[in-house]
Amino acid sequence: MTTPVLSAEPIDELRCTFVADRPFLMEEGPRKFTRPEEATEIPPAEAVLAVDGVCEAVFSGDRVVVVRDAAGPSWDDLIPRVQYALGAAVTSAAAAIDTGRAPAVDDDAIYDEVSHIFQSEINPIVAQHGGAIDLIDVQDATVVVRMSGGCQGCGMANVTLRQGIEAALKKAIPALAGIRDVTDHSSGADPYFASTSK
Amino acid sequence: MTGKPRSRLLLLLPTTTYRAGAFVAAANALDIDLTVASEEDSAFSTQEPDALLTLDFAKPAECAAHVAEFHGRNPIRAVFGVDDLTAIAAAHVAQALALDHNPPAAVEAAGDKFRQRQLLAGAGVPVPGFERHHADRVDAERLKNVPFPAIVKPINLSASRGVMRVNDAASLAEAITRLRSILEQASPTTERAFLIEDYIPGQEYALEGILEDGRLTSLALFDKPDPLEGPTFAETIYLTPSRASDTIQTALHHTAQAACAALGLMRGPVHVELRHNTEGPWLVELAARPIGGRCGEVLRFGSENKSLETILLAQALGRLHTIPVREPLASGVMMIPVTEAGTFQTIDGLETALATPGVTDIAVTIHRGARVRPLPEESRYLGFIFARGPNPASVESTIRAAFAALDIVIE
Repeated sequence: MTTPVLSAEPIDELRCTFVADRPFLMEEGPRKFTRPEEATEIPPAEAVLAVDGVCEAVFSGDRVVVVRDAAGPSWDDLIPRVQYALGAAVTSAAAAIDTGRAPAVDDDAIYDEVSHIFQSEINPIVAQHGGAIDLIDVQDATVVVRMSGGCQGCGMANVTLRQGIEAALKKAIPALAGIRDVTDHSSGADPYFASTSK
Repeated sequence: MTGKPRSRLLLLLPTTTYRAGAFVAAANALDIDLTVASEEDSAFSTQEPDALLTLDFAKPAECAAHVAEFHGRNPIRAVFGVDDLTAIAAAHVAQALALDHNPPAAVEAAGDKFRQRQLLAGAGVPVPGFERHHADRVDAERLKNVPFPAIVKPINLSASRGVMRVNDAASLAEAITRLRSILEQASPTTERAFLIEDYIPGQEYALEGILEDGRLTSLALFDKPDPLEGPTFAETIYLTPSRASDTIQTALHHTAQAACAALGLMRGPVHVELRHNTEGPWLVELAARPIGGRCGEVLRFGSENKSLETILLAQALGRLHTIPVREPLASGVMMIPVTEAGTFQTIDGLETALATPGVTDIAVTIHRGARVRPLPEESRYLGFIFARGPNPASVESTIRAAFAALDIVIE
């Protein structure tokens, strides 16, 4: 795994954009981190918030806007430290995945079962509303999904996910911990139900 | 040996709501069994009949009968409607199931601007002078007596849709013509009556409250720092805590409490719009539901930072023993307005705006390719900017800085 190329371009005195050659997070839309405890399972976010003088970071795809403390170090000092922290976090996270961790639950077995249920049961149902659900990963028994078509941006996507899909999966797989949706719903172009009311 | 059965909540969620995620998350946090009812079939209605129902909210008596039958198989502990229409359906369902709730007549009165005005005026609650008219049978003689400036307001549209300020007879005639078109486009069943009421100058506020045994507790009082003087009334920024004096805040609370009593509301959320000027407080609108859009996300309560939705569902279930206090930080939200008609393409600059110190989230709630029109024709928002800070002034400047960083593309 090579170290990601990270360009840096200050926006103003307090904010600087860093761009990598690969996405930082599975989530598609922007995600803001202000406290280390919010970032414990997101290595790049945890790493950048650990840099002295950084107070916030907004991740979106292959870029992160870092906000520095006005009373802290300047960008001249911070940029190389942020680049190093982000690069190290991305490469070490990938290495951990490559070498494998000792799983508390058998995520691979859950993945295979969920994949089968998605293909045979879930996707034919959501297809009735023009939607589709992609299984992205299983992490510590939590299923990571991305919604598309009529599900992406749908006002009832969360209801479908919790009351329909999660309920069905938990009946089949009692060890399932939950579902995490990494869809950028704001980019949905054809939601089945559009949010319009107050 | 079997454990105590979990409580089941019936949540009435219209498919057009912005708030499905917040309410479903709140129900999960309360560790209850949840049934979600909507006016259209869910994709999983057949597979998960205990979790998903279809109800025609426009027919509350039918809703009540349907739910009573469901209740026989899956006992329901509480029912909650998230908007004006579902609050009425929820009241009828609760009455049929003998659950604690507002009387249906009280919720129906809150949802009808003319009936609401009549009851409030009759009880001595200060409301603008008003007259009811019909869009298809306008009485020209009565229009000659309208004092200007005045407000043209449909009876049962919400979020300022169709609301226009008129300053003379010519602009009144133009507004009525425009309103007919808005009513036709809203829905074939939309009430065709409208109000012409006095324009009340002054600072506008929104009170988010909760009723228990008819007693109103204020959860938050919001300032609306942008002037709302017409010709349309796009709500933009809400800030809390209010910067109004204690005297004004007390007067606003008393007026809201009197309005709830006049309508007969006893329990659950209320969202009250008020103005205050040299004559004192004025009740502009009252709704027997929580704040709309995704604005509720700006509120956090108690040491556990509970959401507004968690507080409201806990009360519905009879689990809210004390009403928690809002967090000590100031907070605010901006509803990103539609400023021109066209096809929404994108909002650029999101990452930069989100990186404005103090901004906690920016939610884009409109989808690409959506046709949009500004008020008064439509009342959609493009999204919401949320911020927190040490005081309301800093939150306001944070929100304005974040909004300035956004480049909204409508073609």
